Amino acid sequence: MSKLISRRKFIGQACCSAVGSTALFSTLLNLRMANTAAAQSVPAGSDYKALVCLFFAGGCDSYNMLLPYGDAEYAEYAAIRGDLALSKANGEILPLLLNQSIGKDLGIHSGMPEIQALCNAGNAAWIANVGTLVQPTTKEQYQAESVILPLGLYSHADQIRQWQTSVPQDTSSVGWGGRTADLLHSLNNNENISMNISIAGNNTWQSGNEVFEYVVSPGGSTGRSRYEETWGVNPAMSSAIDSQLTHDYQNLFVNTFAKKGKGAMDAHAEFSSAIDESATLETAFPEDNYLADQLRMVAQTIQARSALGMNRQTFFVQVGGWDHHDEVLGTMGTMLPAVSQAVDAFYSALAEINAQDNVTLFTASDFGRTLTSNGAGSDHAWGGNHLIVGGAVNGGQVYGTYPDLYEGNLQDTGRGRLIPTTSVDAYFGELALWFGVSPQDLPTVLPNVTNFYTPTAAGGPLGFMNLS
Amino acid sequence: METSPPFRFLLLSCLLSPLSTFASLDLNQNGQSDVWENAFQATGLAAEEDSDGDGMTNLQESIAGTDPFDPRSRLLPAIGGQSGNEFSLFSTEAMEKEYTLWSSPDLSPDSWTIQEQWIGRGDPMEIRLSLPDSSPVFVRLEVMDVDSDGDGLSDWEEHQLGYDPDTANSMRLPTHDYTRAADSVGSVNQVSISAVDSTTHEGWPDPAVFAIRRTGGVDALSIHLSVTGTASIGSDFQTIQPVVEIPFGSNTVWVEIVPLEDDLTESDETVTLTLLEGTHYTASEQDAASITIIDDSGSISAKEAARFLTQATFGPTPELIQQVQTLGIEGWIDDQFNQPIGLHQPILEAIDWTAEGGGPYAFHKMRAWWEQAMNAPDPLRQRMGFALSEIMVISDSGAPERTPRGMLNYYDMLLANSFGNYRELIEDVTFHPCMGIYLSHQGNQPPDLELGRFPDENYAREIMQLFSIGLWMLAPDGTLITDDQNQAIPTYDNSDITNLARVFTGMSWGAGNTDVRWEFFWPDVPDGYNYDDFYVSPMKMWNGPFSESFQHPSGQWDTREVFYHDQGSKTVLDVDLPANDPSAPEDDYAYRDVGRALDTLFNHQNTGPFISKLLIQRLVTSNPSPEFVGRVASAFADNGSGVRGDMQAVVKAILLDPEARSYSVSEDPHYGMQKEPYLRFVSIARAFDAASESGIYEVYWLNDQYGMTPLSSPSVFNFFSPNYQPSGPIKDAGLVAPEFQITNEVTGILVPNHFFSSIWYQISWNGTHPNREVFFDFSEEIALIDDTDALLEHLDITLLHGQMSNELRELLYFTLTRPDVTNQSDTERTKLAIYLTVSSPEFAIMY
Repeated sequence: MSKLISRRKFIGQACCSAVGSTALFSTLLNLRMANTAAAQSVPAGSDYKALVCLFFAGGCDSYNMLLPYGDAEYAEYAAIRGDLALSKANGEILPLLLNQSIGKDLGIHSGMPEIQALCNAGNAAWIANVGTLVQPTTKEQYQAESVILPLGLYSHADQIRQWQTSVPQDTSSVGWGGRTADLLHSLNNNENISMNISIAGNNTWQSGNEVFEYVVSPGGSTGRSRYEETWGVNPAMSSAIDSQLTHDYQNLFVNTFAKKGKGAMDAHAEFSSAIDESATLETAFPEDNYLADQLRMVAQTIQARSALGMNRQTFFVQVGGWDHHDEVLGTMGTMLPAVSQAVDAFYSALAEINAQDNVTLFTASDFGRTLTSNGAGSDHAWGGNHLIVGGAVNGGQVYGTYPDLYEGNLQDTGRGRLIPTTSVDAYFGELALWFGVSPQDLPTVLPNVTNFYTPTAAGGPLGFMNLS
Repeated sequence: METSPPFRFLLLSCLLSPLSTFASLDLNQNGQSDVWENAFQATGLAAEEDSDGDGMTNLQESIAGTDPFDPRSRLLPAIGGQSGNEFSLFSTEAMEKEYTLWSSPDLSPDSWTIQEQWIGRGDPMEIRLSLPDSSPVFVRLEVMDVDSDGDGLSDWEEHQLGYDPDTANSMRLPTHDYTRAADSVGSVNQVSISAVDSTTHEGWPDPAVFAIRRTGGVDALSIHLSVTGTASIGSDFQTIQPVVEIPFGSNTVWVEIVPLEDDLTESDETVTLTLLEGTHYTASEQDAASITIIDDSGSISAKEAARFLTQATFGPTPELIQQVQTLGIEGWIDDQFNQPIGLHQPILEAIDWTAEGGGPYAFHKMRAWWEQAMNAPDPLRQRMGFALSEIMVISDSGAPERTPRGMLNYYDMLLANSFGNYRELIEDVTFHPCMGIYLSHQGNQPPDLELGRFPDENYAREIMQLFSIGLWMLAPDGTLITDDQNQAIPTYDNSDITNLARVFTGMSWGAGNTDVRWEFFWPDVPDGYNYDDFYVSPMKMWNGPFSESFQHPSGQWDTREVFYHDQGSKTVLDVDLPANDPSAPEDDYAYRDVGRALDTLFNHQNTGPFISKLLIQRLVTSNPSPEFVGRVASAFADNGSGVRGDMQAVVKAILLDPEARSYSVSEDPHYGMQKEPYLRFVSIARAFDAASESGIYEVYWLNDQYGMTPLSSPSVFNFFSPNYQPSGPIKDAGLVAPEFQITNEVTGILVPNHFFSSIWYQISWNGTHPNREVFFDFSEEIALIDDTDALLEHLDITLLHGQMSNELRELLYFTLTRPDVTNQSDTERTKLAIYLTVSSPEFAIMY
């Protein structure tokens, strides 16, 4: 049925007026555009925007990343963190200069001076105590279980998935980046390479109903050995590979494997030629820094945006190793500087190609960690603090509500596991609006968003993006 | 005012490529494409006649690519589907022809405008027209041939012949497409027959296959056969047709011999097919071939044995196939239970580190792993141990990286428990020092409210979520139990975790003396002690009470009594674990407290189905039926002698289940699993006896290529989730395919590229010790290279347990007999055959 419909050639009232030649392909294209969610979310113009998700896999102890600096707040912090507290006296905290007071003086980990500079220059901001929520939740409601709570709280696998789907009440694996791409991919002029590109393998965030992530390595894409060679057995080999991968197989697993193999080859051909065409970045990225390697590839891909025919892209990069049940102070002391330097180089590279206002990087993680210590580390918790970087960020500010940290405070469900004061929906909603999702379509991307924000309201849910 | 439009437009019939330049193969120069003449067996039709009376002449049909003998196949549109102002035109659309729809208000020559232009895709053509309320419309449908690659064959002709319209050298052949087509069209069909899959077995109905191949023409051919041999048609094998057709454009047709099982004890029987005389072809010298039907009174089929070994080991070898055929499947499993354990740690220990220039480093583990993967006497246990290492994960991308010996000690512990009891397994996992540092319960202490310190919850959570009961309540068949609101029910909540975390306190290095308080933190070891030995003996429990000095807020020092194992009562999964009564302390309370907690997990209703399903997914299929899971879980619950958790019973229940063993399951398109990418490589290594002169396997650093290597998972969640659903038909069918989580655009290229470099060059290099370089041995295959069918049959058994599809076999046959391949060396051709088999989608999937 659908096949027949797709083959119909609709020739309407134009039939008797003099129109030029109309290619079948454009007819189909128009049909698809019309089908794409009533096209509500397709803004006019061909401006470029990219969202970069930096995921801290393992659950970043982010109350040692954004933390109190003022004396009273610091005392509270030091008391609950015990042997996990950074020492203000020893200069382990860098103060933040906020545009506007939030009633608390905050600082960041001393390993992140580059981020401090970006923040003080207005190109980076923070979201405090953000986490997965289905609806606004108080401690009483949590204890009485009188609200719907996220499934599998405090579990890595569940919370990673929910941070990426923004639907904590079910186990779906369609990510909000994927749903966004489902709405917006028609803005791009490329049908072979996904607008969602991952430098860190398959992930949930970029997996939509129609659009899925394209995975490349930090070195770019790679082709099959000797595929282009014309000597010896190579032409026969390449031709046989093509036949194997384009054959339709009855078994779903065999067929899916073949399609994936073919997709990898096609995407490489197009991706590599676009990257090769575009000028190499001059910005120096730190060496021996895996995040920097990933972000350099992101910047190089953004550089190739015209060759790739892209107007909207998302990128997924990841740093693992944050599950600090042990040695949290020492390990974060080496990991955060690597993050800070890599993000700083990325921002410089964007400035080099004049795309700093078109690209927004945001961080995410499984969860925050317990404020209390288990002796040398911290355990799985809930709300945490996150960073947004880009020229379109209303920077130099901490958004949301930075909570009290004393033990047993209003957000504390025990051991300093804090109920988020800001939902991931508010955080992501702001990013999605900036990216070009219309207020009407926002609930499609973020099904729970109306529990926290009225999409038709003026301004974004939190105000950290310049939406004008 | 409403006007109804009756037929206010005139339809002009169309076509006639007005230009004589359209591409065509016309050796007989009759104005009609030779390809069209062959396709419809229409050679020599009179151009101006209309053979099927459909209103289009034979010449017109040849231009339109329609069938001159079928009146329903015609370009001239039929009108229908009138609804108000809308009409439909129905026509026959041919592949790759260019169609143009013109319209004119008055037929004047300058008034024609193009409304629509498209390339035919062979679908039924329906053109919807919406007419204006007044004024007539005239339309004209035109068809043209296109020659996209300019090779002298039209795109339609190339499509008919199976060529690529976009390149003049289809399939990258050295021969130009036009020459190739002209040679075919101008030649006489010569037909041969071969037994390409020469055996079948009454107990394993994977059919034997004859291939009937032609060289020469392209037209459809009816081949006549005679059937002889000792087997009786219809009783020993399913009836076959005496006439088979090679379709137009194809070069091959297959005849499959499907055995019929009878209860007779017979000797092996043969089926011989002989080519008979027919029209349009001559038989070549190779005009007869035979296959053998093996009786099922003897040993099982080699194909069946190979398929079983693909599930039960790291890959079949000729020796193992022979063993399984001799012992039978269950007998072989029983034999495996009694084989000595192929331990890994001793191999590492035997290395001379001085000579080696330092070590052991993390990568050295793979030396031991490979030696046992290739040579161990207990391949079933090795396979099970690896599966367990993907469930009860430790990884060198975590703390255990520091101790390769410890990690292999852990791996050996998994091997030792693979045929033991799950209760013992979970205890040994819990007490292993590598798990202790990986999930950080080593050195875990009870809560200290004064210090604001709480027990580490890591192990407590993961032992429940991943190693025993999982997140959701399960029925005995592994399906989710739901509440009255149709919601899944969590197996545990956070209080279970905080309680269980208190159980896993007081556990530390086995090298320490548990009577001495501070040895909980650091054992008192003799001078020269190798601290790495901390990681090779099970952890012990420090209970207490111990006397500890402490400082009052006043500054005054004092002593107090402390316990390193939490003495209070705990409630885990609704089971109360008693406190240690200070007035009557229990002997070995700490051990027993842990034991009671492990009993609770062991006896939980979820554990059987949860572990059973995970193991089935590792060995047999990604989506076992609930019945399959239920059968295995029931063996877990009771091995038949009232014992719970007997892993031998579980292994047998998995591998002997009809859903693992019966031939018919592999015909279900939803059945099967991707073989783990790294294990695909291992099975290739086993198939071709990969080895170095020294016997050492330095097969290191392949994580980037495969997205996995043993004991190197990125986290405790293994390389892939058991619930991963790749987008597309698998997800749409509601199925999971865990291994596809690491199948992406990177591994989709790098995995076959690593196969390539290993096959064409070698598996490992060592400039200092060339005798350690690992190579495949292809000598057996090279010996077969001049008999392509025999080589492919050998590769089919060796790599695809006899299930190579006819299409794959024919593609490989075509490839190996191309002129630009037959002129290459034996080695090159052999490598090509092997590479194309192991990089095929069929090899990647076990089904």
